[in-house]
Amino acid sequence: MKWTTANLKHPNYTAQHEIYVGTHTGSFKQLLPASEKAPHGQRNLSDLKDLDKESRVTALAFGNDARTEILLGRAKNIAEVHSIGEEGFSARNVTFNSAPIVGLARYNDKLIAGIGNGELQSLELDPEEETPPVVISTGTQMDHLRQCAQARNIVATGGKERQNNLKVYDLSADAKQIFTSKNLPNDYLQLEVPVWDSDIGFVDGPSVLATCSRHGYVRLYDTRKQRRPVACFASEEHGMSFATLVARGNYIYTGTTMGALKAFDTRRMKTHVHTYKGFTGGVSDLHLDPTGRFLSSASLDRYVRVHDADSTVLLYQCYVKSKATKVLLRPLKEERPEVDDEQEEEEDEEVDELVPQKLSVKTAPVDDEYEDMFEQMPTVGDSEEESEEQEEATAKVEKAKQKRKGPNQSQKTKKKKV
Amino acid sequence: MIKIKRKMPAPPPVDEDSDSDSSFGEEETLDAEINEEVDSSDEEPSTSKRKQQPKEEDEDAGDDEDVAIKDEDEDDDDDEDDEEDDDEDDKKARIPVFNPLSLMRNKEQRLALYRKMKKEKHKKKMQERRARRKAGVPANPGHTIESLREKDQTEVANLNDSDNEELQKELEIDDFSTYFERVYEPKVLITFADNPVTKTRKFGLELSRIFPNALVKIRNKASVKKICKSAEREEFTDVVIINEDRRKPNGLLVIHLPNGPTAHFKLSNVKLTSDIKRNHKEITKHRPEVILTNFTTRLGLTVGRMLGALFHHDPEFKGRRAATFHNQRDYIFFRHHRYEFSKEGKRVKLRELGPRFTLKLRSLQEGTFDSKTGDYAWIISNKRHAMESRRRFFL
Repeated sequence: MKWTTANLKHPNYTAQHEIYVGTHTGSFKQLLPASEKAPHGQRNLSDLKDLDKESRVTALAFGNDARTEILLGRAKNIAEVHSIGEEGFSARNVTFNSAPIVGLARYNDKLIAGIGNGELQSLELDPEEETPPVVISTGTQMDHLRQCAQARNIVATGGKERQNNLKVYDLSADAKQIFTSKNLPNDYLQLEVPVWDSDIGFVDGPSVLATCSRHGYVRLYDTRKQRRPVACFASEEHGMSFATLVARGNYIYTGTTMGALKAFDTRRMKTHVHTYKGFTGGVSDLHLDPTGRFLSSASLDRYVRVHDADSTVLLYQCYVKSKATKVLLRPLKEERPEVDDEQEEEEDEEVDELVPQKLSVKTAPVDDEYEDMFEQMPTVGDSEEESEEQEEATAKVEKAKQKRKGPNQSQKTKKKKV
Repeated sequence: MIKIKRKMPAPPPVDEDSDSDSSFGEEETLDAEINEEVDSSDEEPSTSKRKQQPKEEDEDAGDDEDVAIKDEDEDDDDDEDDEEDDDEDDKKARIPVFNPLSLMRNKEQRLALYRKMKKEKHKKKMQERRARRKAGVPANPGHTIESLREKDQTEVANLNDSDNEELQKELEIDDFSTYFERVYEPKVLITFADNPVTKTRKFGLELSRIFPNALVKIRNKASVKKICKSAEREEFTDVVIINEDRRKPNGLLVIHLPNGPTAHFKLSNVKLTSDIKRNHKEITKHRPEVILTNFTTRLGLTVGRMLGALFHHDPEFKGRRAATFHNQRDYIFFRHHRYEFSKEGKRVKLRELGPRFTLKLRSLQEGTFDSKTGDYAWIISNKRHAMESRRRFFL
């Protein structure tokens, strides 16, 4: 598609999504690309009047699996918890000790914030009495804190300099540090390779992580294997300064400060595999929808875009008036049950095989008639009478074939749930 | 319209025309000549006469000759058109019309007629213009690249729109808000690339005459980041760095302190005061007025504010100095003038003082200078061909 400044919506973009955007000015917006009438209409969810210089949105995350709660952190020490209910939105403020908040996570009744000075602070959301937040120091600086979507007790932090490299914490065990990464070996001049983990992403599960850096590398870590990265991309090219990252399946999507959005294949990290176009300013945040097909991006050129992750087509573009810093893509209600089912299945599979599977691989569709055939087959070694009875039964069954489809399916679903 | 008229009585002239067709161009030219020489237009082809009659009646008031010329002109057109219609039924394709006068062989007559024709044309044009002005209709802007400009989504038409509430809020809290609230007086540090040539140095000096409260320093091989740090310590509010290449200034880096943004401009067509034959002694020490025109988009607004923030907010009108940043097709033209009103105060005289130069935005970066890892709010390098178009402008 040709480059343009206009608001766009691709005719093939029919998925029911809503987009939440946090901006540099501090406004928090909802976009509804799914609506027919005004796909570029915007609704401000925060009051514009009480914004000040420090109210820049610096963190945005979903607070629960159902995606009905949004955690929003600002450059000052205030975090907001927005819940999306049937009746509308409700918001409440939570105050931490320091600023800026660079990442938010929710585990049970606790709200955990990553602070720019390298601290991890956790607060009870509904305390009986006012208590100061529990503070854990992770280093001297932090760029990002991310919570694992599959195992919500796991958070990862990353920042600039060696002592603030990628670290993983377990919130269920009093925020114990369970993994800390190790830098690459020194280069041929015996000089340290500079470290700046500007963003972190969990790759389908708590054990595999990807980081990107403003120094121009993308690394993949496996906490079960080793502390050093298992795969690495490093660019000599000028201008590959990665600011944000999101990962899923075999792909890592990263955006640079100069407005390039690239996809890497974890199996072969030598070069990028996709480039997504349309940016004139740096990419500030990325988010993938649960199916992994829609890649939403916030950019400092004041646009929010949605790309097709596989075909790289620009599906949606909307001018949001101020510099977008954070973005979340949320499927609307009609789609959610389906999505949840898929997730359940996936989780089941993971439990079975104990290996995180690629999400792109789908289980073969179950053919009802084929299974019926096997069910109705006479077992070898049965007595003739029985077989005759069974034949009769099959005849009956064949007559009632069309009727049977419904009940059979219900059986299937029951089986799955069991 | 005329064309449609012509179509109706097509059949009769076919014969004549087909004749002329078969007998090459010469006969046709002869015909034309005859027509022109005989002013009364008696011997014109019957068809054209028929069509022309109503017109003649209308224009009888004017000069007979002129009318005749016109008629001839149109007749010729007719013939051509008819020919076309016969040859091919394509109604849109037209053979270029040439002036029948040019086929006339008598030079004196030809020139005389030509002059008359010109005069008539001019008269008509003036009449139309007068009528238009009386009716108060604005002149047609015509097709220029600006009028055909691609519509920009981010355009800021009216700041006080209810639609622009968020924009107003942003302007209240952005990096230049303190300047526009007059919290501080701008103090500008001007410096160069390493080892600047004389022209670049002179340009820096002239810039320091334009920006009030500016200081020119030789860079002494300091890094831009260090310069920013020490300038902040010395309470400078902006740093301007002039880059040069091939002994000519070619780049301008404007850094707003303490926390950005940083703009990088391409600098071209630098004319120093001496190049436009002026003397720098003409430039007084009064603070100039700043005129920023044509910055329409959101990005343009930011750039305009940034350039405006280099000057003191209170101009001294006594000095009658004006510094202009005029944006046209993304090129920002700088001019420096002294103005003088005539005694009645209706007209104004301008005297350019120099220097003059042209800027073009290359990138706008958040924060102070950090070209490798800084966040760019807008950058055009490495995707220029995807973004640029003749009718698309960013400022």
